[in-house]
Amino acid sequence: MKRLTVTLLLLCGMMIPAALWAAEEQPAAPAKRIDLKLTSKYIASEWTNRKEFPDSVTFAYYNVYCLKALGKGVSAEQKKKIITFLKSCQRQDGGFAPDPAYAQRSNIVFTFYALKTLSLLDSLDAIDRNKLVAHLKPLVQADGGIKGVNRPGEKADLATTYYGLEALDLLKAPELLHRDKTVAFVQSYREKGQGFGRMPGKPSMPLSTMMGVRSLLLLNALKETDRQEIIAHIKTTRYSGLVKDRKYPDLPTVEDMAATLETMTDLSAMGMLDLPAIHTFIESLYIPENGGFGPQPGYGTTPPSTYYGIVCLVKLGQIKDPLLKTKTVR
Amino acid sequence: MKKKIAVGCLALAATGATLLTSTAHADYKVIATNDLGMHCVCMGFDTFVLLPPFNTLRAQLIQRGSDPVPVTDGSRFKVTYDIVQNTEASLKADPYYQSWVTNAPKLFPGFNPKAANGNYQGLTGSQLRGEMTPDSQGAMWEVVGVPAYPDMSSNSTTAQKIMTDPLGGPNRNPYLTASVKAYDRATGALLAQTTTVVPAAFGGCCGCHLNVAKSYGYANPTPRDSFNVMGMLHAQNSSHINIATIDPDHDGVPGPIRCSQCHLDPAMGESVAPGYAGYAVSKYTFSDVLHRWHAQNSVVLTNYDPNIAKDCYQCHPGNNVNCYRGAHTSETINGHNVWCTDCHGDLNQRIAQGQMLQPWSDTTLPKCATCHSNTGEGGGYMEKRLFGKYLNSHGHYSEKILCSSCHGEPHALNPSAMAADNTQNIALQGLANPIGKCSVCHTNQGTSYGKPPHS
Repeated sequence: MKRLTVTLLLLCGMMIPAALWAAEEQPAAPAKRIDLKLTSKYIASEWTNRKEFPDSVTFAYYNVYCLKALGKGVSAEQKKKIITFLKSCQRQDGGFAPDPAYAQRSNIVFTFYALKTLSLLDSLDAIDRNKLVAHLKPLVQADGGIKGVNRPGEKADLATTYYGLEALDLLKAPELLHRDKTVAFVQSYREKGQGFGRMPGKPSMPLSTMMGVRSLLLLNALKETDRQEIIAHIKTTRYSGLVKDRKYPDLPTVEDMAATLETMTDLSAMGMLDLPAIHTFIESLYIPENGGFGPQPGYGTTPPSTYYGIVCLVKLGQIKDPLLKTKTVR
Repeated sequence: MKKKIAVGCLALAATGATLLTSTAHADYKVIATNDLGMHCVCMGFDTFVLLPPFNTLRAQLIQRGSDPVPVTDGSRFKVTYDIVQNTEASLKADPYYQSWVTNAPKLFPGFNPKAANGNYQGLTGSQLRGEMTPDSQGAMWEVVGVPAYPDMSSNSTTAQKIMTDPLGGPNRNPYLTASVKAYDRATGALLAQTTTVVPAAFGGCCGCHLNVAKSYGYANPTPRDSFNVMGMLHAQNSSHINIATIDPDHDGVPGPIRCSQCHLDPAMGESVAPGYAGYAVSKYTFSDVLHRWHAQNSVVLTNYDPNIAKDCYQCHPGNNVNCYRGAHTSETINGHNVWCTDCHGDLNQRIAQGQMLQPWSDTTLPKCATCHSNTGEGGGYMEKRLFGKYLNSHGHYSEKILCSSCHGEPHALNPSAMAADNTQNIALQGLANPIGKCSVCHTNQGTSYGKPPHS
């Protein structure tokens, strides 16, 4: 245990220069109670060792992300299994469905996760890119939004547009976009002077704010004034470090915490957060019985919440960021 | 000697310190179980209800001997139950339960949540304590529809109050205790007694739907705000019905409604959905619409949870309750732990296979025989029109012993990860494992001694 703590401290020390936030910003508290060795075992038990592994497109991504973040790496056999599985999830229309056996309808969220996984595995060329680009093309709407499903009646919103933008970025196919219209579409979800809402004119939500900010970054359209306003907004939310403030009637979630940390990383503003308080919150979600993380305080472990817990530790600079391949100091 | 044991048991009960299973009479054993291992219940009933307070207990009274037999003669025996932590006073002080008391008559016209004796009663008339009914076909005693409710009172210890309240209320005990006792009806002598777990927990609906209401502009959403949002969303489906405008009791305030009024739910004991006047009854079951909509809706997948097909605890009691806690949790298949979807299939599979078109049915629920050979599953089968093969099958001698009597409740199979689930078996045989010691029921080696339990 002591050795693990020392290793973590060393790892943290190595990772801080690689993090996006500035060196003078507040460092995160080192992991004390969290036994990442046990977390690795949990991931092996819940995901990697399953006969059905990787089981679904999202689980494939969570698994690869977590293994890399925890320094475990992905074996050649696992990589082969994942790629074979993901290829089987690409539907006739070119998009991706969550699993090949029972879910036939493709959705942009699974297309995003499939591409993101393949990108992490340096295997984007494993799938039929042209077919996928042809699938994405009609999803881009005249108003700049990107639909999630190519079906009459389906509408684009901020979330589907965000996933579409990420997919187009990974495919290096920006020519499909009507950039200015898409910027305007994304901005229509902005709550004036605040973050982004799930719908136009509605209040800011952590996940929507993450999606809005990242969409604008992908479109190279985030203005400094917007950045400052969004940072100021986030500083007023519970996820700035007031996670357990009693003025909130409902429980904070690890997913919203992760979304906020991702947003603040994207805005190079991690130092504006109360990082020790956030670490304490993440620590409170850790389940020592199995090494996973729960979705909310007092809740048991689930695989997705464990993934989000690890995302939080990554963003706090405590473990390796698998998405920062080139920036990682080795 | 018998008197001494009985006095000892009474003294033990009087201390209130423990409710360990113990026998009062060497010639009888009683084994009790909850039917499902978990019953979900709503945390307020002002607007709509998915599931009411409703719990079912089963017990087998075994007359020990060379060839022991389960006895169900109601003229000779009496089997009683008592939900220990739920008292009339504790439920009276519980705001959520009182919401049930207020709204139950509107939700179930003709039903009075208070019985003639002034006590609370469930939909079937069962109270928090009373007599179980003998069922000779099932070789068991049963009480259906007990209004057990997650306990917030001082009748539960802090350690027992593990369940988080998504609405910010105090934590609650979702694993209540039933004390089950068997008596000689003529003499009143206590023949046997045991305790078993009575699980009742909140689902995760509010945890997510309050967030949905927030995203629609309700800064500090209440359950009614959430109801209004859900009604608006329901109006966007093919029914075009805004459920938040239905006012069954015509008091000018929408609700309370129950989903199963229009979407058939066999768990409510109905074979057709009764419907609301002026509104069409759905051709889809409640289980089907609820699961299919969440698993396939693009807004849910992109804005809330792309894993909802496998994320059972988002909705089913996982809020530190972790209702799946039985022996399978520590078993492995090819090196991985057994998860809900290994037995039930994930939602994509269940939808694709049409499982939820026939919910709560032995045609769609998991079977032990899928993985285990020679289970005897299906033997002595009770046609209950509800539940799977495991719950309604009998094995062992003359196919009269319920599978669950030896193995425990579904989702809490022995040995369970939760100590309370194992109390009964430890008391009966000194082990948390499924009942396997012949001497629990057999006094000596009669004709049925040593007969394999599954053949």
